[in-house]
Amino acid sequence: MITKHSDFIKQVSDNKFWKHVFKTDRTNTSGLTSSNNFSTVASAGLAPLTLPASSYGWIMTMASIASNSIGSNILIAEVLDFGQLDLNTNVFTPGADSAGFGNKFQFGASTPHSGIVMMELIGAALNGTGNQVNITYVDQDGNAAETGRNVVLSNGSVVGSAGILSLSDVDTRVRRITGATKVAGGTTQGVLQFYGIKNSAMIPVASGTMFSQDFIINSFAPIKFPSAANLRLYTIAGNVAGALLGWLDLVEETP
Amino acid sequence: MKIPTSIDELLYNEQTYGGLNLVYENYIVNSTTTTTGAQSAFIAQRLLKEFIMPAVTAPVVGALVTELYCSNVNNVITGLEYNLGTWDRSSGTRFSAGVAMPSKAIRNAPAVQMAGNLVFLFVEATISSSPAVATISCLDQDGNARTINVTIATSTQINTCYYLPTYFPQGMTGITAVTNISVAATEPTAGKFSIRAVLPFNVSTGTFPQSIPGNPLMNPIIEPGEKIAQYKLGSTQSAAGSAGLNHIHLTPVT
Repeated sequence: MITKHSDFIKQVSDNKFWKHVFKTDRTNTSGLTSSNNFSTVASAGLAPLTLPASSYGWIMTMASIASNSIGSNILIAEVLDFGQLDLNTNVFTPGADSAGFGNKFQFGASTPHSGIVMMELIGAALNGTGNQVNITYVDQDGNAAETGRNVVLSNGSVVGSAGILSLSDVDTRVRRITGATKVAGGTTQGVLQFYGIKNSAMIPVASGTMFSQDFIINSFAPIKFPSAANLRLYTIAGNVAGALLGWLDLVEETP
Repeated sequence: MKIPTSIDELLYNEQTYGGLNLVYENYIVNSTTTTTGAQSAFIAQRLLKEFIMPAVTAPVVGALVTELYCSNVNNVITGLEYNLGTWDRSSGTRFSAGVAMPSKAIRNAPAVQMAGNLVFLFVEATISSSPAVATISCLDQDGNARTINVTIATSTQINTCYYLPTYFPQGMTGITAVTNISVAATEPTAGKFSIRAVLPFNVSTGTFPQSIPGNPLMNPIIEPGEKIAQYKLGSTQSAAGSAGLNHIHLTPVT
């Protein structure tokens, strides 16, 4: 286990690091929930990234992202598949990770982990109007059958539009979602994919610039990803088209 | 308490005991009434969501905020919040006591009594139409009894925050406890407010993370049961629904 800064340097010198380079274009410019019930607008999931396999996982030491026109906070997130709601049939299908975030070693003991949920439109654009959905969940304290606010979906949202799930006033995070239902609106296409955001980092990127942030020396927030983790990128409140080019610097964890 | 003093010590604690990358959304529940008099150029709004520090397992005793980032909402102060006392028109006694400011260890020194000097009169339920004067009896930084008088504007709305140090009498720099609150002149027919003291971590600009290694600070240690809250400062109000995504990193302290 890496417990000293020199351990990072040793791992790099032993060639146990990974520079994950990506480039992505985004053409859609709509948010999923413009009225969003107080929810932060998070537009378009960008590029799905899968990290390499590793016996002990990865620690992200730095992220560097350049933008030609997107000026936004960029969320780099390990996503879990919590399930999908078919907006046409109004059927919710639990995902491979529907059991939720599970436990995490934290403050000296293994405890239930909780986080935010990203909703992302996949399959087809919304062609109906007035669509609203409601999601039930287990909150950060383990209270079951909590009910979120009705989320108003923007008419005409395109594939890739996304938004953070709005919770009730007293909740900050969820352990898992238990169901989703369309509660208003007519016939429409599209599927809502629910991603649990497990481990994540956020960095600011201004339009036309490149920004690097390290997570160990200048800003201490070590982000650990498991082997072959699925990552997605989201722009937070930045609904413009454009391209992102960048890389994630990851050092392999030790036994 | 052994507060980390190097990157290696932070890393050791993070890896050995498990840190928390706390991510949640927070927002302003509704716009506020512009405050009056000395407050006219200074608006504060309390964001709705709170985080309560969970239980820890020995040898962990608490956590240190090592990175703080709130997207989209500028000038947000994040810190430990203490409710020192409440005035509630619907209560027969009106006043209910809160907690006193705690003692805290700062940078491995022995714990000392904290005094809040970032203190708000926070309106929790709309104050009805009568203008009124709230008299807050309290103890100052040295334990001396003090009285603070605050004029509450007519029909002050939920989420309005009066910045209390503006009304501190001469020689008073902080508050350690509230012993009573009364409202005179014409008592409003409805309303509720509380006195909230904040030990701040840092201000999040909405465009860049603030961190311990990048800018060493004397952040207070968060102990189990303590509450993280956020206030938006500035000369203009944010509309209801103004939201930001928090990234707050907590590293264990033993």
